[in-house]
Amino acid sequence: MATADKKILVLGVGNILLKDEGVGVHSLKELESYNLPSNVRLHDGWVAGIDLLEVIQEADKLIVIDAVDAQAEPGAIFRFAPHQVETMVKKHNTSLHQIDLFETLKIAKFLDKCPETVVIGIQPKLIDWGLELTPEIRAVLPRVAEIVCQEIEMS
Amino acid sequence: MAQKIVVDPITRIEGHLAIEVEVEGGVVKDAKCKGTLFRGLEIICQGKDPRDAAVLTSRSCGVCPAEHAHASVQQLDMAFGAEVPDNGRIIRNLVAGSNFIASHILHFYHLTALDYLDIMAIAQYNGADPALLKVRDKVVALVKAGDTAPFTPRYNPDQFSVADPTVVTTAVHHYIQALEMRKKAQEMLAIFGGKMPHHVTYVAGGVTIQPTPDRIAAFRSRLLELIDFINNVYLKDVLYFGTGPLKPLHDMKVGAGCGNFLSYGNFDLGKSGDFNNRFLKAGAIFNGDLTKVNPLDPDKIHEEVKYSWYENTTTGKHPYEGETKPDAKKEGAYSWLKAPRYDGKPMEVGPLARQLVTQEKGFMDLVNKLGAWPSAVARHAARAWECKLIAEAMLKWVGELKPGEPVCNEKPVPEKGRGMGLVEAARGALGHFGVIENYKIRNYQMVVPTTWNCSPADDEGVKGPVEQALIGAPVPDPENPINLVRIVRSFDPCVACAVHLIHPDTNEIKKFRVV
Repeated sequence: MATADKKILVLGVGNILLKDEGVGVHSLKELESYNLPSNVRLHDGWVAGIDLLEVIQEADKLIVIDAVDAQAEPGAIFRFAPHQVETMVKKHNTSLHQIDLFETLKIAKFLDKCPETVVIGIQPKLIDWGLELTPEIRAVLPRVAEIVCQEIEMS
Repeated sequence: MAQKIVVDPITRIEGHLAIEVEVEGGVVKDAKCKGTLFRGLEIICQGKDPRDAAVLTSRSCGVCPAEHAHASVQQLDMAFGAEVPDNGRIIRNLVAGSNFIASHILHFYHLTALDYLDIMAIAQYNGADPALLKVRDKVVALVKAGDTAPFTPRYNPDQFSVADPTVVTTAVHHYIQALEMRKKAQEMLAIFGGKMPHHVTYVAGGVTIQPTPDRIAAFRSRLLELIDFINNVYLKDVLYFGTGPLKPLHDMKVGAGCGNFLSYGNFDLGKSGDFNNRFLKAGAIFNGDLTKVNPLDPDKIHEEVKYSWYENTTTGKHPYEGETKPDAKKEGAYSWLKAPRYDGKPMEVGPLARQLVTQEKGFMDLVNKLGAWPSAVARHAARAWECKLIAEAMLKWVGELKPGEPVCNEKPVPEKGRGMGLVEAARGALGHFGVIENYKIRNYQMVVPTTWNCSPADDEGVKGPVEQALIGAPVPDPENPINLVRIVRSFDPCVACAVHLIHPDTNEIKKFRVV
């Protein structure tokens, strides 16, 4: 598929009230200053779970940006596909209320409408009350944006 | 010897709500409901422009943000002395109603139905319905591939689980349809809310969006489809399960609760914010006495903190004077939720409370027919019935919009004032209380539905509604405490404002490092 025909969705998720937990959302702001191709859509997913189903289904390729806890040093960046971290969904980890993003992707798959998905994860430094990222995490945003741009080019 | 079971469901990294019960002889003897997250939005609001409260507090939750904004603008209406014009009032009702419909459909089909179904029965379906055959083949393919998500992991089926292949396959088919239907409800919300979640059109005095003929038409066409789905699929499914396979659970009163019910009422019919003139009524019922619905008196609301991680000096206050002073190391405390009380009593809130307070004839006929109220199953019935009532009423309200007429009565921020916004979120009574001084928010308190339902014990040691609903529940197999989740989920709990971080158990992510 030619790049220009492919609908690419960049989904920033996280809670911006909790400092570095919101790094996925902050990354989108960084990406807004880039001259992205017209087939790329930036979407602020916040902490929505199943509400993202319709948005996800419309894409051919999905790039999720989120905080990940890989017990690495703050600002470390990871790239993986959801099925590579299946430990997430093998337990009874269904919340009493919310359907999380991974489960939403599973539902999309069941509906035969799940895009190829890659997660760009950033190790947070501090998760605590506050709207600002820590300086260390803010400093990696250009690198995150660059990686997302590479991901878009490769798509 | 009592056995302790902890059900600690997690979303991503942090648990929201943990249930700890002691089981003796297959029955729950004691229960604790633990809110495991501190919310703290009250503190964030302090010192801000009062108009920011609606935006900030709607971020409490991505499931019911519309209702946080609704409660927040109603407290502003009162504090600003703004009378909302009819268009503004109706648009708020339509946004709220859309949120109720989306939330109720989601709750039944996607959050709780699987607790009542033996999903593997689908493989035995041998009927001829093409849609059901398609569902069967898909599920069988998932099983063969060793990946049964999104239907597992769940608790194991028990003797109450529905295992008829046609019924289960039909239910999963409806699960898929329901995804599309709740999308339409979300779109309806966005037509007048601008977007969903965290819609953007609510302001003190009304709304910022005009009811144009094209918006009205777009809203109406989706609503008609939803009414069809609610009446012919959702309500029928709930009544079928409730009066058939799940009747024994209902008759055993599994998940009965405290017997006290509180509703603030919702969907203003006259003056905005007047809880005595609402489509769903305001009132309180004590000790299960449905013959006496007491009028709502907001002065009777207060919160206690003996078993919550807040400083003891803050206990027993009305939310206007309420304080949020965390004390994370407090001895004996076990929850971040405070214990709200009405007239000193724990109160169940939510669809069942609203329906028992409203006493609409169709619903009361159902109450009389089924008997043995309340129960976990009864909450699902109340939710579905309410969904029908609201959707049909919305069709009338959308016809009352007047394009070209005012939507808002704008007022300046007062130097001083206070207001309360008492509304109903899908999952129960929601109150926002704001105090303004020197044009800024001096104090802000939110008393949310799940704090009512999932409240810990109060200063007198009286347990909260969910805790009371769990005590006495049958748990024949402590390894598979399915009744506990059925009971807790029937309250549609939501302890949002969650940390939202991908966190696998292992360090596998390190393999995927890119820099």
